[in-house]
Amino acid sequence: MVRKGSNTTTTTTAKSAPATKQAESVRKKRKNDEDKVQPHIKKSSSPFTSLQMMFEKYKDEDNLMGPDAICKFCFDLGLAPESIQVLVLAWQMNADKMGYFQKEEFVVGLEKLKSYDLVTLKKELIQLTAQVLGDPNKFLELYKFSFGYSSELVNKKLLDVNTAAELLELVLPQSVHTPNFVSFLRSDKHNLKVINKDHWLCYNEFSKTVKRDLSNYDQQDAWPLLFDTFVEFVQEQDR
Amino acid sequence: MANQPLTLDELWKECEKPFQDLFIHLKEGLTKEKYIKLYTNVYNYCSTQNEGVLKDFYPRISNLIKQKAKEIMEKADGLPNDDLLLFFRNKWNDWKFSSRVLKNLLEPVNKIYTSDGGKTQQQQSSSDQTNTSKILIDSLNAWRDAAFKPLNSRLLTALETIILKDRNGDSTNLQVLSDTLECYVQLGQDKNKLQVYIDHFETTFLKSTEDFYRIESAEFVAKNGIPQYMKHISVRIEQETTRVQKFMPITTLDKLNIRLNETLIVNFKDQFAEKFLDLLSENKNDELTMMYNLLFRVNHLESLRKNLQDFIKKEGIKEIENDLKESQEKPQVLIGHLLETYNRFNRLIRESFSNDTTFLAAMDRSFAHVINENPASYDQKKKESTIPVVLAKFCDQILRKGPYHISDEGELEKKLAEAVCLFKYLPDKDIFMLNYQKMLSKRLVEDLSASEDAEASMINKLKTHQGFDYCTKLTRMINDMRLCKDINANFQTYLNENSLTLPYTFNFYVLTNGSWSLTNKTSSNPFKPPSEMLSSITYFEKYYKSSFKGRVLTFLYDFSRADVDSRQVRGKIYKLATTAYQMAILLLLNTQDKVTRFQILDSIGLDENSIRLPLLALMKTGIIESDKPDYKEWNNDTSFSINAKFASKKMKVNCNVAVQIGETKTSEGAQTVSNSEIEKERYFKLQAAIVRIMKSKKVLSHNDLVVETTNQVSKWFAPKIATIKKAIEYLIEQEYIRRTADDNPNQRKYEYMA
Repeated sequence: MVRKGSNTTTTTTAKSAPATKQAESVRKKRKNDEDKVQPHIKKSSSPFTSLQMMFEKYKDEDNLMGPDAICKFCFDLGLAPESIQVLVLAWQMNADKMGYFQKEEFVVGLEKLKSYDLVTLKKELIQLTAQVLGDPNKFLELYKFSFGYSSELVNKKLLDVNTAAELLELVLPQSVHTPNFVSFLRSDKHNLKVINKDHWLCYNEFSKTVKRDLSNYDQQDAWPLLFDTFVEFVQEQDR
Repeated sequence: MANQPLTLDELWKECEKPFQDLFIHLKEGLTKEKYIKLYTNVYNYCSTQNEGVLKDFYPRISNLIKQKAKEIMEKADGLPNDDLLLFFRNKWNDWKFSSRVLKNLLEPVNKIYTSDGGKTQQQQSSSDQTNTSKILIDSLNAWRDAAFKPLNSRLLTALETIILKDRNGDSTNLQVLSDTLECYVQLGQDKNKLQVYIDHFETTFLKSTEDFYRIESAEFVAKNGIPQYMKHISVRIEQETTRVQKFMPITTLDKLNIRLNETLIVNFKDQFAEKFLDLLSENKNDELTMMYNLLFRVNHLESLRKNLQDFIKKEGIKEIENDLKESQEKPQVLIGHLLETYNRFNRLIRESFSNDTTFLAAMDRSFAHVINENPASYDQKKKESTIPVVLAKFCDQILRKGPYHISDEGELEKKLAEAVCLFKYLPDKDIFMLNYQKMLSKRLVEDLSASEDAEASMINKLKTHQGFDYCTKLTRMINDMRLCKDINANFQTYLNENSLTLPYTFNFYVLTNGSWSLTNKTSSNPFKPPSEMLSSITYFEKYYKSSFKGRVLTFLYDFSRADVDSRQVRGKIYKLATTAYQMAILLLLNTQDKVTRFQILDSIGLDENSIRLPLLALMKTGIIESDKPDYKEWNNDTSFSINAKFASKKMKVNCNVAVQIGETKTSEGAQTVSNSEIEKERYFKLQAAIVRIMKSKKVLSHNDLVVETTNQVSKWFAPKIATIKKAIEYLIEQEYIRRTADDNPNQRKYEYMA
């Protein structure tokens, strides 16, 4: 999943219309390159070189793929940048910052997936994603990773609520609480700005253990206050 | 004397007549010679005729006893019941005596009987029977058959009559009752001595007592009401108890008490409880005592306790409601009312309810409610009580020099002790402490504390109640003040040694940072002390730094006070008590008539906000004037000048007075500790407690941690669960603790991160 960097002013999803010159030029470049480079990668004999070349093709700075580059890459890959599979990819790369792939991260990550071309990569990602979603332990790793990956605040200790909401819709859409929790995070009634890692981890716990009707939620338990407020919020809505 | 043994018939001839006389003509008595002769004869006979004694001699005696008993009791026929009882009792006393004499005469027979019978007959009961003699037993049996059996039902009626008479206040012979019952006990079998007594008297007695009082009490209550009734039954119970103690076997007392309690008290307990409230409101302490004692007998105090609890609550609140306005405004008044209630009910419980601990506990419950939720200090909407602050103010007022100070030491001590009594009921002892501390700071720094001893005594009292650590800061403050005396003296020596002199008298307080809640208000510019002060400050700093290496001195000008002599009015000298800032402003006016605000700020530092208060206070006292009286119009050109027409009756003028700025009335230094300061303190205390607990326990469940934390801080305040959770979350974020990853979410705990 890729979100816009906080300093850029354009949306970077492939679907959206380009608004700046830079984005426009990226687009043109992509059109030109498509026919030439892709077959070349497929034919490459050394796996390592082929990954390097693949990176070279998309990078927009030395050793770095920025948001635009990643969008293009995703487009070519045939996966939406904000899909869970791309998040899984970032996780495999152990990418440090959302919207940015370092060259080393990229090469190591794809190597790990043993994918040296886009078709294999896509297949691998779809397969791995399904596997992760079915395995609570692996999922927890992905879930933990996604917090740090998305956090842009204070040493990656905090996550702003809108990012958190989007992220939850992506990684935990199957939880019955997610729609409510997302609208809770987005409502400005509680003046929520950020959540911390503890909140984030507890939500996974919450979604697993608390019943749909919240009947087994107990304020006396160790839940952070945020969840007390959330439960009140839901109960108020239901009334 | 012939030593020839007598034959049975010879013996009997000798004995029969005296034996008969022993029973029938007891009063005539038996001469000593006759007695000895009889005894010798019996003895001689017995020593030769073992077999014959048992077979022939004793049966004759036994028959004689039976016959005599019958003979005696024949006279009972036809006697009316009263006389019958008397007759029975007298005859019984005689009978007892006669039997004993006979027994002594026949001692040799008895010996044979017991030694022989003991072997052959009942071995098991021999130990009991060694002291009883066969003759006594037989005489008792004869009495039972001849006297008791035919008469006992008539006797019972007679006994009942005696008791009834006694109850009704008619004079009667209770000794007869006592003797008769003694006879009943004697008649009982060895194994169960009281059985005859129980069957033929006690059971009926208990029942008729119950019946008697059931009727009497119902009538009495209907006629005279509960208070009179209580008096009446107190007497009644006393009477019944004494009667049993004096005239009946003591085992009856418990049984009787059960019946009396049930009939006289338990049956009326609801009416008692109902009347209880009336008695309370009418202050009928004697009746209350009586009621307590009665219900205590039957262990039915629950309803009294509950009623008392409600009553104290109501009365305490009412007391304050009646004087609501004064109570809201004046700590002395509110605390006075609370103490009134406290003392009133404490006394009541002590005097009327024997200081019953369960009653004291009930009072504690309701009094805590009165203290914390009375209408004068409780905010219904915020669910908060200002009582901790009020109590701190109360203490401040009586401890500081001023109108409320109590100069009499004993009296002051008593008031302080009472304040501590109320203190015990505060749930938010931290709020009290923070305020007390702040007020103590001001008392000490401004030299307003009336008595050092009283301060120390109060701190000791708090220490006794809340523990040493509750008062640490207060103790340190007092210590600082003691040390200051030395420091100032040593400073003086230092000045002398270095041949330095100060232009004015200076007194410094050196106060440990952290123990005192004193800080300068933030101002964008620091205060620049006027040259008059400067030398003293510099010398002192030099002296202090040389004596105490490594310590940092911060001057709290906000709290500095100065005495200024003013000659602003011709021919008069006023002594002005000012703040340091006011002094600095006034000193500027030493050399010029007028100063602008710009000049003031330029020379003394500070900023517009921080000189507003000193200026306004000086203007309010009339020492200076301004071309713009309204501070809202002030600017840098606004000028201030000395008021040459100043007049005051007093030579000493206090210039640090409260002035109205905006909505709030302020003088320098806020009066009470703000909520946010309290919240902050509490949050710190919670965090500290959690870290302490986790450090020692390493791993702990959420519930245990919450409970432990609550315990640790309960000395200071009752924490909200949400605040504890917040502190826990903060500590997780700060990585002091973390959640353990257990597969079972209910097993998850917190873990200390070293």
